Amino acid sequence: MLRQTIHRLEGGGGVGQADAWSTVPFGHAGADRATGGIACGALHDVVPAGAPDLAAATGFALSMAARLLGTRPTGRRPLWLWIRQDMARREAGEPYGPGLAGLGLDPAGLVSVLATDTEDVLRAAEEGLKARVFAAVLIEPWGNDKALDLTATRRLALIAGETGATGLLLRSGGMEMPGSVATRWCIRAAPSRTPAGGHPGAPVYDAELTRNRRGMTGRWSMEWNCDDRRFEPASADQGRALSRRLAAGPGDRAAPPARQETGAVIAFR
Amino acid sequence: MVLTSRERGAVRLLHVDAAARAAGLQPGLGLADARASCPQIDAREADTEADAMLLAALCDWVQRYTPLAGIHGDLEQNINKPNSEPPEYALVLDITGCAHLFDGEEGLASDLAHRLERQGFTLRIGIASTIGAAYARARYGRGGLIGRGEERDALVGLPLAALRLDAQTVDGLARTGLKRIGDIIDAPRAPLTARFGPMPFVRLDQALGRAGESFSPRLPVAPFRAERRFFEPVIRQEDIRTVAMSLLRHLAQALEEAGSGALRLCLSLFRVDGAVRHVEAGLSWPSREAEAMHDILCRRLDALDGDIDAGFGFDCIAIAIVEVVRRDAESLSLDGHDPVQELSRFVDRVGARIGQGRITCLMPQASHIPERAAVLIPMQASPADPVAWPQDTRESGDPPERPVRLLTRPEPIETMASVPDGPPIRFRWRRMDHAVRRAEGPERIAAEWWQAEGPTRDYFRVEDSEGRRFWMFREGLYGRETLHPHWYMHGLFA
Repeated sequence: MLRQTIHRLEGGGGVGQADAWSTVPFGHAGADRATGGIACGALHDVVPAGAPDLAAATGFALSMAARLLGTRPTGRRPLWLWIRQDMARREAGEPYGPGLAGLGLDPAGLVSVLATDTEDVLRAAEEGLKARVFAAVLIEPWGNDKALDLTATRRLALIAGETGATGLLLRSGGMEMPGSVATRWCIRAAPSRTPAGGHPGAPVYDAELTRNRRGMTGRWSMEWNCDDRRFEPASADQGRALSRRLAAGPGDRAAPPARQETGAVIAFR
Repeated sequence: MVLTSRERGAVRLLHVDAAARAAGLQPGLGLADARASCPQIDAREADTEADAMLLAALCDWVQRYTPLAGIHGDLEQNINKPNSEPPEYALVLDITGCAHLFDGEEGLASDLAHRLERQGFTLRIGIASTIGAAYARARYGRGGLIGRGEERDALVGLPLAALRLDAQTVDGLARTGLKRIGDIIDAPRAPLTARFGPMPFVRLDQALGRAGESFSPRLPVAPFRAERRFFEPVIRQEDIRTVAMSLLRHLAQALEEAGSGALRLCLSLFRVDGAVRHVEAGLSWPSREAEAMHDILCRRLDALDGDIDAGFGFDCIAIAIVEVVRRDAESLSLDGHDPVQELSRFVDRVGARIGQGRITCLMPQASHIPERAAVLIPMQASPADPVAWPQDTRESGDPPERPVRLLTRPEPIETMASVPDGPPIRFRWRRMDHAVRRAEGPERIAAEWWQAEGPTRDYFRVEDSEGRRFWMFREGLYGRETLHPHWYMHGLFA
């Protein structure tokens, strides 16, 4: 109740213009319940919990981008923007087309910008959010530069609120710091569920929602379904329940309620 | 003071200044001989590269008089010349249609001479209807104007070298007693041509205007150009921007009338002391809006901030539209929501700041070597049509087979494997130990046989105990290619 009041108050404060824009569901029931989905026309922070979790955080931000891209009206190929700082490229590598395709993103729609410093990253991000052609703008500055202060993120958030563009701030090599963001996700890598054969499975993220302008925070284990391009619950018992169900065959017993909610069908060989 | 150059081990004089000439020194003389006759000379080695750069800068500077300005004789005449002969450079300006802006040819010449002399140059100007006559006048005559139809009278008294002939031909002609242009101007042509080749008469005809001659300006001539001169030099950035805006308004109107759109702009800043600075900016979508062009230009100026030295200010600012395309009114739709136009505007605005080459898109390549399978190419070089990526061979439900990020170069890792050709059970990367929980592989990728380079790689998809997923490979087939294979980290999975 109190949160809703605060939310209303914040809504009157300018940034709340973002409320005019739609939201895109994660597909993951818990995350959707807490956030109402990925808010368009806003800025979202994705922070790796530690240096080795950068790949997982990249994956989570890319998965969010894939959700946003999936909802664009069909017709033209949707474009998305990835602005990186030189340092991020050196430390974490280049975007890799076949891998992006494997995750469910269209590599042909990617526009990549490589900037030398944080100021240029922010400037390019402003232009990207203003441009109205990008379904998602992935902004990846490196480290905790002082240029990346509250004013800078608020500026980006205001532009996003005006144009309806969605910015995903991937904080490579950085830590959580205050910013004018709608949600902040702290991402850790999580062991994948093992398909038959014991090899690594689909990406699983241990996602902690540490800031949420619209409601509660929380922590979920989210699996990215590369085929249907949606987040799904990935807790161990869910996996077991699913296996059991498939083993038992259809019509044998009622499906778990959580599955009905997300409406997912996972095919297993 | 003399300038010297080294030729076949001997140091010879290349250029001599007025004082040295008065002391009896000539170009071509050995330095030792020169020192013997005149011990107090100041001899320095000639720097031909610096000369060429200065000449180019000067050529840019004279663009304030005409867009058609070139360096004469740097190619044909000077390349085959022995070092001992001083290279003969001249600037050629086509002032057709420009002179009236300076109160006629004489006015232009005196303005040019005045400004260059103030910069410390010594110059002689010849003006004529042909390049040949103007050259002869400037280099061998006393300079000044040769009116139309007066070429013949003006040239007869000059030496044959004034016809831009090589030294050998001039010497040969001199031996036969032909020393002045007047000596050959009415001479029978066939015997001379048989002996000295066609050049003497070709040059003569060119000088007299009987044969055409073209020259190539140093900078391409812009289809649209606007400039403004100032009595008081401007220094402040804001002033430059204001001037640029008003120039662009003129140009926008001209573009509109011509039905064209600008693709590339060049802002030229003429500094009071003669230095010229060009600032180029490109647009990926043809434009004829002054505001849009101004915006791009200003971003370029912002990016160059500090790199442009205003010195004592600029006394002339010009904007040329270097590249145009025809553009019809309907393709100029300005509703602002055309995605193609929006995208190109984004590319322009960001590119003007950080460089167009830094805005890239992914392009698939027909290669199974991972780092060659996809490359980032500049957005501007990308094809207009969407590219078809190879179909994902992964079956539904399978995890991605390729990482989302590929390290710019594979990084060596230390590993511990249970079997020589199996996946590692532990590895150390970037000073961190990882225990492998799951692994899949090998996926064997051999070097392309036509490249015949590099050993075979065995790729493994690996997940560590924390759930981090990596793409690593072992280089070289165990036992066949190497006994101590090295391991490398190549990519990171989501």
